This record gives sequence, C-alpha cells and structure tokens, in this order.
Amino acid sequence: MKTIISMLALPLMLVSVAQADVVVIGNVAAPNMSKDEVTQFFLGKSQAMKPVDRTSSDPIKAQFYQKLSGQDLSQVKATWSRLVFTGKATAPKELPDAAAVKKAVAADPKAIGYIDKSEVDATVKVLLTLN
Amino acid sequence: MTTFSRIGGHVAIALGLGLVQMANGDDFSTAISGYGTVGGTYTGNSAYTYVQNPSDFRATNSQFDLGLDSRVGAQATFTYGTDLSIIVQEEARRRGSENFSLGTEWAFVQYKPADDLKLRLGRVALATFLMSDFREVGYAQTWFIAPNEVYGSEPFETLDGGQVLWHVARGALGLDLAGAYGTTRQDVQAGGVSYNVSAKSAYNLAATMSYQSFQLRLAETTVSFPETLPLGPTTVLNYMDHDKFLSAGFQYDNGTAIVLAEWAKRSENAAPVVNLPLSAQTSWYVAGGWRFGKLTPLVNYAGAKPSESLSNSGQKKYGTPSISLRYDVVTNVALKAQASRAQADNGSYWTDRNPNSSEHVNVFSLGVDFVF
Repeated sequence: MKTIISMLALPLMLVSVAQADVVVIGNVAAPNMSKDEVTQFFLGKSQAMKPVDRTSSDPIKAQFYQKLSGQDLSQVKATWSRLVFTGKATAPKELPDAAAVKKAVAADPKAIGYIDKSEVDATVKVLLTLN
Repeated sequence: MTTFSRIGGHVAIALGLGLVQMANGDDFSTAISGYGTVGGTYTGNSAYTYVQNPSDFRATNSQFDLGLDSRVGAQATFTYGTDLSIIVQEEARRRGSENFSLGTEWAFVQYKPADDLKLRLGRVALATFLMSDFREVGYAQTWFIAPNEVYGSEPFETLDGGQVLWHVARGALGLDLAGAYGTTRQDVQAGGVSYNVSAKSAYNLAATMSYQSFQLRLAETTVSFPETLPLGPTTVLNYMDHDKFLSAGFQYDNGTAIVLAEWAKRSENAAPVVNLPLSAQTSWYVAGGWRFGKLTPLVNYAGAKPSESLSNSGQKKYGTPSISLRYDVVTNVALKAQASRAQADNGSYWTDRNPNSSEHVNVFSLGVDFVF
C-alpha cells in the first residue's frame, strides 16, 4: 500500500517541481511591476523596458509565457512575428541560463528577465512573482 | 532559383554591411529574419478564375497552383545605438507574371526620440486594415488567407513617405496612434490589361486601443491618383480620384478563444460628367476560433455590398462562409488548410463572376507558413 501511495506521490511531486514559481527580475533600481505591465514588455507592446528572454529548449520559457499570458510558444512567436516584420520591435535577446539573465539585468537598469524563484540573489530585484 | 540567389545576395550584402559596421563599434547590431509560405489554391469549378484581389495578377482555377500563395521574405534590421535603425524587407512572389520576382515591402530609416515614439522615413506598408501591415506573414495569422471581401478591396500595398507611431500605456490599457503620408505606386490589372497607377498622395491614420485580450482599431486611408476615363471614341475624362477607406477592426484573443471582426467602407469621389464613383462598397467579416493545443479551427463569414458605381451596375450583396485549420507543427512552422464557398456572382473572388448564376463554387487552399 505504501509503495502504491509513493508511486502516486512521485508524479505529483514532479508536477509541483515543474510548476515552481517563476519570478520576473529587474535591476535593483527598477520599480515593482504589475502582470499587465510585464506582459506589455514581453509581448512587445511597449518598449519602455528591455526584456531578455530564454531559449525555447529551456522549459522555463514555456512556463513563463503560459503563466504571464496564457499563450504557448507558437502564439508568442506569432505575436513577435507581427512586431518584427512590421519593424515595430526587435525580438528580445535569448540568454542560455539564469546566471546570464541575472548578469544582464544587474548591468542594465532597463533590462527585465525571468528566472526560477530559487535562483534569486542580491544582485537583482524581484519585480513580480508568477505562480 | 535565380530569385532565391538574388535574395541570398541581398542578405549577404546586408550581413556584410553589418559585419563591417560591427567592427567599427559595439553600438551597431544587425538582425536577419525571414518568413515564407509554400502553398496554393484551387477551385471546384474550372469555369471560374480565382483571385485574392481583383487587381492582382495571381489567379488560378481548378488546378492546384503552388505559385499562387507561395512567397518568401527576408528582413535585415540594422540598429545603431538605441534610437536609430534601418529596416529593409524584400519579398519574392509572383508579381505581374508567372515568374517570381523581388519587391521591396519595407525600407525605412527609423528614429526613436522617446521609447514609445517612432519616426520613419522611407517605404512602409499601407496599413488600411487590421492586418494589412503583416498580411504577407502567414505565420502571424490564424487563417491561411485573410477574407478577400475586405483585404482584396485595397489595391495599394505600400506607402513611400513619412510615418509616425506613438504608443501610450496606462496599466493594461494601451493606445497606439499611427499616421503616414506620402505617395504610392502599384501595378494593377483590370480586364487582363495591366496598368501602373502612380498616386499623387496617400495617407493613413489609425488608432488602436488595446485592453488585455481586446483590441479595437479605427483607420482612414486615402490614395489620390489621376484617373482617365474614356467617354467616347475620341473623348476622355481626366480627373483626380480620391480612393478612401474607413475601417474598424476588432480582435479578442485570450490564448484559447479568438474572435475577429472587421468592417470597411470604400468610397471614391464621383467622376465629373458621369456623376458616379469608380467603385464603392461596404465589406465586413466575423470570425471565431478555438485553440485545442496545437490545432486551431476558425470559422469565418465575410460579406460585401457593392454600391452603384462605374465598375458595378446592379451587383447585389454577397457572402462567403469559410473554415480554416491551423496546426502548429513546431514553434516556427504552421500547416494550414482553408475552404470557402463563394457565390458565382462574388466580385471579390472571380475575375469572371457570373451575375446570372445562383451556383456556389468551393475554393480550397493548403500550405505551410514559417518564420526564421
């Protein structure tokens, strides 16, 4: 019986790991932001801040956009295609990992990125938590 | 093949320029991106010749024609610092003949005096309708082909001149204002004869309000060009034609449900003596779709009501139901199919519409849209 319960619990634990909190981070000098504002920057409606993205092979990217806007990566790509091919915006730079995102955000007061909550440190500020 | 190597050549020149400039300083960056569609259309009845736009050269009938919808575009973006950029977009498609040839869709210098203000000088798309400025980028749209009744009614595609784009945001509420003024030229065909229409002036004004999943766009576009009408065997009538479109577009997209609707009214000033405009019509569509994971079906109904004009005497209103299916294969490739059922008397579908027939003709399209 115990084995069955732990067998059932394992996938649940995996799901909860996969659904970990994603935080939007900015420079230590950046103001807190609402979900609507973060959406405007990451979906290219406003260019007042400079979003930095993650690569599509990184699972956090799909989680982030799902939690932020309810869109999958194809939809995000379609949204950016509308902006890129009308010259309205340039697609955000894709960085390989959380360390690179933190480094970019710490160096530029206008940069915003997203990482797993567990990877936050003093070099950056949490602007919004997505759960 | 020649076309593709020409595009390659343009991209190589662009890359070369970028590399030279990058060597000169860190402030310069270059981005190359592209889009394309491999697809075609055929009709269920060879007696009718299908066109997406009555003034376009591309037409097909009951043969599946891969050249009708296929196109490939490449864009080079050169950015200097944070405020200045140059964007050039070239697209190969059938233009006026069976052969593919290159055309410049966009080519402008952009200066950003503030984060949400853009000033442009050069060639931009003439954004008459909701999706006009990315109409060539199939991947960016749910359907395979935007409704002909609305999107096929504007013969002009680009504007050479200046454009101002301004974005204002307050919380989730956004307002985008756009204004463009300049000139335009377009190769058009009418009755199998081709003309190059060179406009004296063109302008476009648009306001787009967005709130969360909602978007509403209002626009006015006017192109003024000299028109010559034959009045008799030896007399012609010369006058300035002001071809005006008013349009209202609506979009709702919450990630799962999609609702699209658009209304457009085309009016031209009446020609002197004959006292009738060259053409006049109201057109519209309503579409609804739902995303089931990677699969997105969309149903659409488009209609048009031509008014009395020189290009139309007595044509009644017509409507076309369509269904389209989008399948997102991977994050930059979508497979699409579309079927429409158009009346024989539909002036937005056929070069040779039949006002005396009550029959309906099916139109089928299949293709792949991609971005890179």
